[in-house]
Amino acid sequence: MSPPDKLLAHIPAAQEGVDEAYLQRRSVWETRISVLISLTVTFGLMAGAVLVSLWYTRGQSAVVTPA
Amino acid sequence: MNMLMFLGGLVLLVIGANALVRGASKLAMSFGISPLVVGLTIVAFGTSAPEVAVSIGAVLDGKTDIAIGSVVGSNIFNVLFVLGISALIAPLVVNIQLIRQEVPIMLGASLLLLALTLDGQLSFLDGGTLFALLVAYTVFLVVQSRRETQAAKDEFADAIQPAGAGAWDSHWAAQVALIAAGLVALVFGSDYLVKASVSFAKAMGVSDLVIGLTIVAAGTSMPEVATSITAAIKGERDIAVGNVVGSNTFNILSCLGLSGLVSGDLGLAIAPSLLAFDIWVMLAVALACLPIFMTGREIARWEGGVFLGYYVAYVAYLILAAQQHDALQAFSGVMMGFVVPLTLVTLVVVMIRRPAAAGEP
Repeated sequence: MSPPDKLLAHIPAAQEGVDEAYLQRRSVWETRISVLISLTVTFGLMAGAVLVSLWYTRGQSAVVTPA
Repeated sequence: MNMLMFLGGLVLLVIGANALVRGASKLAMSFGISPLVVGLTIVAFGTSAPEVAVSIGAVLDGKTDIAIGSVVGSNIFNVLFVLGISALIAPLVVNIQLIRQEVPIMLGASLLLLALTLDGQLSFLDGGTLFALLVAYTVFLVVQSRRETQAAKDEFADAIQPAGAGAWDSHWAAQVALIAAGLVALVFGSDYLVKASVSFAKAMGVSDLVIGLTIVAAGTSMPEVATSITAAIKGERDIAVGNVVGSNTFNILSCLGLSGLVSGDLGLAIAPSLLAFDIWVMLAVALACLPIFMTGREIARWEGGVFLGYYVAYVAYLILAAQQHDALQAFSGVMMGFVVPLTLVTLVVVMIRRPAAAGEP
């Protein structure tokens, strides 16, 4: 096998390795970002529920005026 | 390396939960929301934030046994270990509202979880039901807080202080940054913890479920351990119990609700051993709270010792079962034939001798 052929023969394998590592990294970051989004949406929803219930029961003593 | 990753994950989870609670509490109070509402919602939810982050991360990583195991294990750990240790430090006072309202709600959530998982999976719809109940429970707590006595409001006002003028976290930008940093720390903490736990399971030759039920459950319950033990040492003995009961309800409704939702159409498969044993243990432990809390409206030192002994027995059973150890059958025989019946008889006798305590105003 000529040197260029040897080089070419290595490229798919090398490329495959790179792709696999890249895909693994991407999957890890996708999971992290999904967890972040899920947490943010959850806390946002909970905050919304608290604010809406406070608004519906406004005029009572649980909301205090900040100093 | 795995141990470092596990400990790093734990540290990040605890720091993240603290930063989230601190930032959100100060931000809420700078908008004029009372310490009572902040305590009942943000602080209560914040101590469950590590469990939430780990459950979501584990489900998205395809490790559903860790997600469910950590929640069921946390609830068992919270009652048996956290309350056990706290009661050994100082007998714990049980607020009457806990017996009348919070413990039945925790029991109801545990029963609902059992009912939803009897078909062998926690579906998207099941998750949605649990999450909707979480929102309803939060709204109920906020509305109920309007009727709280001044004494209760003062108690929370002492415990949760707004940011002082000039303090570094008094500006809204610092509070938002704290919330964001807390969320990021939770994400990385859960990632490291789940990865390290899976490696532990492989190295020890046990299932992800056993690791979720024990190491991950205990690790994610560290905020509850810190809060309850500190409260017991400081003499705030009713906070230690309220923290555990509230956290268990939040764990089921939030962690498993969200896990079911993020699992999408697939749903979460429930391991047969979890359905046959661990969920029942969780339910029995929740049920055991009622007679123990009602007797004299306190958890005495000996009751704390019983809780702790049962936690040791539960972990011992998990380890023996995971290894298919020869002693498993003898151990199960002694527990079911002697220890559990003896405990039940003792509880019944104690309840008969001190029946009126729960009815006191």
